[in-house]
Amino acid sequence: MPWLLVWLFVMLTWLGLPVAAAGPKSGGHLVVAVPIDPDTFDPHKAVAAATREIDYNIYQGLVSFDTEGRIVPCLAESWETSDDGTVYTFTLRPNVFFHNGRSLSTEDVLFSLERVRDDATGYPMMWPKQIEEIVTLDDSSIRVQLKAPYAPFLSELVDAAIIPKEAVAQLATKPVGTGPFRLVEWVMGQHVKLARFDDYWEQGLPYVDTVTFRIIPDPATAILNLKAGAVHVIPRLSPDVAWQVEQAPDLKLLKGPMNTVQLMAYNLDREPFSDKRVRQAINYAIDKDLLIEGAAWGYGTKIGSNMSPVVDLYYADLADYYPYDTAKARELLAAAGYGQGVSVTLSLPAEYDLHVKSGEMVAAMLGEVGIEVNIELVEWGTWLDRIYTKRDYDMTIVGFTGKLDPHTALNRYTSDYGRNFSNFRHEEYDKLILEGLQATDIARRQAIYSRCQEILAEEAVAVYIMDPNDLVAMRSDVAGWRYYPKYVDDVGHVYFDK
Amino acid sequence: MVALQYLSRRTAALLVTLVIACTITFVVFHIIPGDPALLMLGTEADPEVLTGLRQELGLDLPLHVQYLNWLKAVLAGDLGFSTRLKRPVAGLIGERLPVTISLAVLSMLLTLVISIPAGAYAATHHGQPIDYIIVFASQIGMAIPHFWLGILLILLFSMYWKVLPPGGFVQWSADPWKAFLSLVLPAFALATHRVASLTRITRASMLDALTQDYIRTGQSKGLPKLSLIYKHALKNSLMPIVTVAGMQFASLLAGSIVAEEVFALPGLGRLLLQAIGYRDLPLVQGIALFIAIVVVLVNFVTDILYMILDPRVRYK
Amino acid sequence: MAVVWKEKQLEAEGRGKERASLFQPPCKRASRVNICVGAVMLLAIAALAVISALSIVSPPNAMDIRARLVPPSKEHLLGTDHFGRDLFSRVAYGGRVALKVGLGSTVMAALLGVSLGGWAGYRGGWWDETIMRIVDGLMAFPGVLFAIMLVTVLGPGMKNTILAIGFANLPLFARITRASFLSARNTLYVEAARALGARPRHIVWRHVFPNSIGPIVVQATVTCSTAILTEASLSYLGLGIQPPYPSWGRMLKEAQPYMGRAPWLVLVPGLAVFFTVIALNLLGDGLRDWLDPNTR
Repeated sequence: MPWLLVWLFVMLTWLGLPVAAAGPKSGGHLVVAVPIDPDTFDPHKAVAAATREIDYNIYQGLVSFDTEGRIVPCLAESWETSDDGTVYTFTLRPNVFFHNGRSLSTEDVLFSLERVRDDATGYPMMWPKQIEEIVTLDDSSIRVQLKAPYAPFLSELVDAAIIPKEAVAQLATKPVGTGPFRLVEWVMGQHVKLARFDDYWEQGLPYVDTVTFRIIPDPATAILNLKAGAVHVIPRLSPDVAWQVEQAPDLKLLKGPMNTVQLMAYNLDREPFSDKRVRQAINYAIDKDLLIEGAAWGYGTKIGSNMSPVVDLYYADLADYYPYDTAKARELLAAAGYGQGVSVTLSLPAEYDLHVKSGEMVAAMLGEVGIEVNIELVEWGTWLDRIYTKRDYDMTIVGFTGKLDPHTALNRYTSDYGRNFSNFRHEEYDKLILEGLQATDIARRQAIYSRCQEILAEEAVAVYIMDPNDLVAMRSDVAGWRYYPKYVDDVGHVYFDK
Repeated sequence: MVALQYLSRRTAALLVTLVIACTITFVVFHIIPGDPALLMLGTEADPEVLTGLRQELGLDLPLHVQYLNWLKAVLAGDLGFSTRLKRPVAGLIGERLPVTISLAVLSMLLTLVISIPAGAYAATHHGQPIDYIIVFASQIGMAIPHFWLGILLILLFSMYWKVLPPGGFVQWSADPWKAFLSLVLPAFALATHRVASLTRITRASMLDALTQDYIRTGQSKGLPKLSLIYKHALKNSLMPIVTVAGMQFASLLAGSIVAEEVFALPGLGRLLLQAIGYRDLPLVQGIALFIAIVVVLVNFVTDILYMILDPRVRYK
Repeated sequence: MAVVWKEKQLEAEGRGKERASLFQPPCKRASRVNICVGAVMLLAIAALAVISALSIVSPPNAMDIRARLVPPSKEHLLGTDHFGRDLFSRVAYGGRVALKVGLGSTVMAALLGVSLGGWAGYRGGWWDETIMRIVDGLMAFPGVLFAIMLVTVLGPGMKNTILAIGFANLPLFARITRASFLSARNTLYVEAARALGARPRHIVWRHVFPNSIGPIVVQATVTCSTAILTEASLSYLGLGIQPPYPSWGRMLKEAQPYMGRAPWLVLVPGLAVFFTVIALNLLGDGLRDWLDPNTR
């Protein structure tokens, strides 16, 4: 009998040890290199994408998203949607604390959402206008009434951080949220330092003790620091320098999708792009695989419409709708009357190296089929003004960042959308988008958005090139990095695997 | 009294220059296309929100009103608020100053320490091999693009021999030794051209001074050679040296944009470049004003030095 | 006052320069050697530029992704860049760009600067004060910075780069011309001409201008080399010459990420700039010595 016990004990400990060792270990000081400073830590006023990257770890909303882009509970433990899609009832998670020690209540949720709705706050998005009223039902439930059914509501809600009323005055520099980390220090242009919040509601998280986001604008410097061990993670690494990481034995390179749509847009109101055959010809003339290889060193996923494969629930695979075929391209051009060639201008935003490189390759490829492309580098400020707002351009290359809901990804092509800078007008498309906005049935929405993507591809509204990979360079002993279809750096799940 | 007259005349002239420099900046930046509000809020922003922001930033006022408002504020000591970073411009400049000033001082010291002795030596050993070597070296130094030199230095000292940091900057308060190390390469890259230039000037004006009559007189009087060189020749050739050194220091203080790009230093030059890119007008104007003030001040100090070095100046 | 001393400094440098030749003891011959060496080097660059124009070598923009970042070989004399483009032809083409920008902006700066400075120097008085104050205001900005500001306003591209750099360099020409005109105004021969009743325009063209031309020409070579360096800086920063046209500065910027594995991409464009600038400097020095009446 005693033997049996001893044997059992030995077996259990022997089996138990690797299990314990394999799990995430607590502790350590993580250093992440980011290129830009946050603009403010007030979550309802921040406009820079770089801010969200970091404050994702400080603030949370009622709901959040997982790595597939699906909406998951966060500060709301559960919720119910009315049949007509206008009433959302949230049940708050108990035992959640703010960084200042106070516990979360429905009052905070009410305050935060009202603040987002308030014009005086200057919240940069328009969706809060959809809210009719917000009512606290009891200590743990809150009800939001919308003016009309609005399908993307939950996906927009992920960005509405819940804050405590008393911290509002200093929020820009002293953020108080419910996230796994709290802000310790922000030296502008240098670093942002976060420390673990010990009373975080999600058990076991975060793993590391502190995270320092070092502001290093230059990718070469960032890599040298990574090699030296001064930095542990570089998210969104430029593909040009990825080779340095792959060569180094103590570093590793993670590749994941970025949920960005890189496209070459046409101004459909201008010759020759008003002719569908020309647009299709250009599509056929571009070898997307070679372009991805040449401009992004192969780190990209080919796409065929204005959505990335990341949001797999709604993605329609049209990547090979226009296979590379220069003969077909020439045929179509001749049919459209441009057999002798045509000259166009390609405006590129100078600060975005990937788009500039892609543009250079596009110019070379189109030259082969008789389209003379004049490249024009435009400064971002001028790009936004002249091209995006005034729509004064022929062709341009730009990237649209990830959205969780297909509506927000696709509605930019509706006739009455203020920023429909392609000038695309299509009756069926407009109808579908409107329907999808209000539909509540997932299957119906899938069908709708699938057809929308098809229309975009059929009409060759743009050349949809790729979803560039989000390359993350890290030291070999770092683990737990997650890819999300949004521009965030989740350091809550990262740990050192020594 | 004459000195005072001279100084006050100089001050007046310099102030006028200052105002003109500011006006030029203002005018230039209001011609550029680009809406700061749109730049801040990005491609998804709603038109209503944009209009509101523009109003808040005072962008819808007529140009001359905007200019006068700005001028008034500056005279009161308020350099304005950065539209993008939402912090006072003066504070932002102040934050970047330690880097820019340290780099400027380090570069200038390097320049002075190398070029004045080298130029003087070349002049006094005129016609000998060392003279040609120094002249040759300065020809080379003047032709090398400093950012290329910077890249090569990084390649050599940070990548192959991992001796110095490749860029970036640690605050002096955090780690003074590391801060110093990260300034070494940039200081060298920036100093090269300046050393070459200042050496030539020193040599040229020393040569000029050495052929003057009073040197020959001194020689025939039997004065020791060293005293001749340093007390008389060098002192009298200081004017052009001071001029050029002053100009060099002013341009260093203005923030060397390209060097800061190459070495990823958070200095004034980079801040300006970013501000231009984001159409952050208050910040651009603030920095431009700062640069103009620096240049004007350095000129002023140079003029005072002239007055001290050469009494004849006051009577012109 | 500072202005007067600055001019004196330029003068002093000029006289000192007479001994600053590369190879020989100070004399006229030395200056001629300088000019020759400088001119030959420049001609080499020009030849390269012409070669590229005649498309004897492979076109500078032909991409070949499969042959990217290839080291110097028989097929590609200087290797290829990240798009597989031949570096040699790009450098040659870049020479064209550099020379165009250098000459173009120098001519522009000279024309505008000399007119302004000459007018200020000759007329004197109120004209002088106003023009020189504005010129001083322009000079308060370091060259590259001013060029950046102008290029941001005007937009990128070769024409605008030439305009921007030309504008940024005109103050120097104005200063020099004014100084020459001022000092010439008080010389005996001008006084004599005036006493004889000559018209102002005649005086300027026959007497004042020919004597001022020396420093202007010398300044022109200096400006040319500064312009090339400024253009390189501008395109390094991403402003200025558009892709796919090669510009040495831009080539340097594009090569930086691959520094560790393709160092030739970083060495060659920089050497090209260096070579051109030295050529111009030597030419300028030689010219200065040759034109200086004080050289034996």
